[in-house]
Amino acid sequence: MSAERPGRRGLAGLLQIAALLALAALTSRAAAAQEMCAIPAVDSHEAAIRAFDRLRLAHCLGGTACPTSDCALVSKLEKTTGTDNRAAADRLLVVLAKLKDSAQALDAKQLAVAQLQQMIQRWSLPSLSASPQTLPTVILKSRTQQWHGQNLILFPGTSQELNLEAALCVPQTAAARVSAESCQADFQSVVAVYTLSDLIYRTLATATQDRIADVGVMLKTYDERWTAFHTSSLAVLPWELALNNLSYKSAAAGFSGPPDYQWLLLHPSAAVVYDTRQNDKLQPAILLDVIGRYQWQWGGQDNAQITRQFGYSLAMSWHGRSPGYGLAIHLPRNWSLALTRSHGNQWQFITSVEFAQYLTDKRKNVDTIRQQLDSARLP
Amino acid sequence: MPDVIFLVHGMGEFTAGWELPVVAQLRQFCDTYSSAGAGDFDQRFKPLAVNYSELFLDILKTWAQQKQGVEALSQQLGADLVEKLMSWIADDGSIDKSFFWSHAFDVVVYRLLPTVRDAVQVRVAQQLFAGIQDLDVDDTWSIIAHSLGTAVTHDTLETWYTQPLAGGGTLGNHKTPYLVQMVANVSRILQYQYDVLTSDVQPGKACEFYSTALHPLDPFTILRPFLPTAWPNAQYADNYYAAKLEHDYIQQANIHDFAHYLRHPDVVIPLLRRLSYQTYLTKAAEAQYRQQFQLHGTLTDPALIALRQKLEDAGVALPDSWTAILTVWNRVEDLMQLAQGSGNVS
Repeated sequence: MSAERPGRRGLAGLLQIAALLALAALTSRAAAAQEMCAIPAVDSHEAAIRAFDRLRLAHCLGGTACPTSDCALVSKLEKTTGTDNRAAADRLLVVLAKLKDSAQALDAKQLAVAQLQQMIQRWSLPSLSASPQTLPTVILKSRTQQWHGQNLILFPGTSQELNLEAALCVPQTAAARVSAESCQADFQSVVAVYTLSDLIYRTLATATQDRIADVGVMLKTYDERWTAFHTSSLAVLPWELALNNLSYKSAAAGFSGPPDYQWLLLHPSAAVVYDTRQNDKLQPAILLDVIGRYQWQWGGQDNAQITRQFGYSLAMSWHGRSPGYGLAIHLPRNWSLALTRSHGNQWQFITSVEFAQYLTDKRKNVDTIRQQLDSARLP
Repeated sequence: MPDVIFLVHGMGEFTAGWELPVVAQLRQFCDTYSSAGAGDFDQRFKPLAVNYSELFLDILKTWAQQKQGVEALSQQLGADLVEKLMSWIADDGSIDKSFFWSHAFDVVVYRLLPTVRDAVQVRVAQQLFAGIQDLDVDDTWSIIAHSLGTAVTHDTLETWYTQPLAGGGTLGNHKTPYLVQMVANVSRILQYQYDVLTSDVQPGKACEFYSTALHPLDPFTILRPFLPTAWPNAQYADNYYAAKLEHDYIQQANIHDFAHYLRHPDVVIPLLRRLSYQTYLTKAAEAQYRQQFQLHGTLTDPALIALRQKLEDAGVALPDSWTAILTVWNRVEDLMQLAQGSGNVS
């Protein structure tokens, strides 16, 4: 015990030092962000646009470096996780109410503030005229993009849209001039409005992010399925692709995944025929699916691989003097089996190379076992 | 992260890094002429290449493998029907060599086959989605698309805009690009699924700004030029820009080339101003670039006259139909072969 005490003390000391260092790093990062995002003095349109651009690229306008208390509040909301939808909606409404208060505190006579307040009114923030239960649906159906500042554009796609290039420190008439004080006030106002607008967008995004992430997952799955459809399925030849497009319909809205079946048309494959007349019983042949159907289920780890395939077709085969006609079936592992009859009532049993390979391996295995048994019986 | 610019290629085979020459050209322009000075391009923009050409190549290679597997055997066994079928397919070696298989194939199957078109849109959307996933709220994302890529971008954005979300609403309600810059815009000639003049891909809807560039001698775009007169509405009149380049702007045989379009001051200056701000390229810098810019580049007069004649011949009066592209195919192929030595055929 006595030997452990100094070790524990040492560990506690190290933890204290680490905590202090982390705190110092956080404090210095916050100070750097404050400095980087400090509002500069501007006295002309060009200077104001350049300064605004710098703040935006530094992510000071509602982005990750934004130093205001509203930004901290939204960041905290984004980090909050939980499965209780009611509690999540309540938290979101509290933040929206706080952002609305910040917006109402701005001077309505200043640049862009009237547009912000009109937007808040039009959107019925903070409640969005919805109950906490229906809030996520209302947000999903609303155009939250309208709150997302786009470069120098505020409230894009709305009647409140404001292009700062045309408005920031720009005189009302050609003869007029904008004073340095007025330009500075305009600048501070648009920084505050742009920041609040982006923060409202971020707040609303907490209710949509999971649904939007689902689209990303869906796109990845669809992409893998399409690749499988065009390269790993059976009916991949140009005329088959053309035929399958006749029966294919894209989704009524949004991205489409591939079907889970194909029509086979004039699909040739290398095969082998079991010929009892030859010394070497397995002979090369060509199998042609004249017309047929091939279907499967999506499976595998990403639910994007072709599994449990099954297909059937009217088939032709070539081996010997005249072609044969019959039926073919297609199974997983590229196993195909066909029974055809050629001129002169000659029946042929045809298989895919993969199936023949499997049989050959089995035969070898059986022979090996038989040899082993025979050798074991020997006295 | 800076503002993201997606670059979407045109027809043909593209490998990783295909966008680097285009990016280098834009970077050099910014470094030389922007008011922010050298190095600003990389602080301001993050170019991301979108590649969908692999999808076409995968299809062609699958066909070639099928052909390889049965062609010799069908000859050996006298399966004439199979042999004839296989003769319609390109073998592995001829995919790169023939203009049809390496370039035209992409356009034809994209236009004609919905299963390919939908697969391409999914491939492109997936790359867009991955590229914007970690964007800061202050950042924007824009798209610069070329040739076949303009049709692909248009269709993908329209589908993106209407993509339903579980629980209600659409993806377009929440995520849309800032600027869509179409270069050598063929979206109208290849339109099928959506009418490009009435679709949502217009300012104030599926994007904030829409720009297009058109060369009057570009054999691919003049068949059905994209010049929407019906939009934008009055509120977004300033959010649409069409650069109609001079008839005489010929610096190389392949005037359809991505870089050739992007060199023109009426394209590159408005593009970079829109992606940043107006005084990013001052009037003095613009004047300087325009002064040193030469419509004919380093072409001699006889070479220019011969080239212009060829381009004019390729674009003689054509029916107003996408199938018209086939009627000029041979002439365009001549031009493209001529262009192989002077720029990217894309």
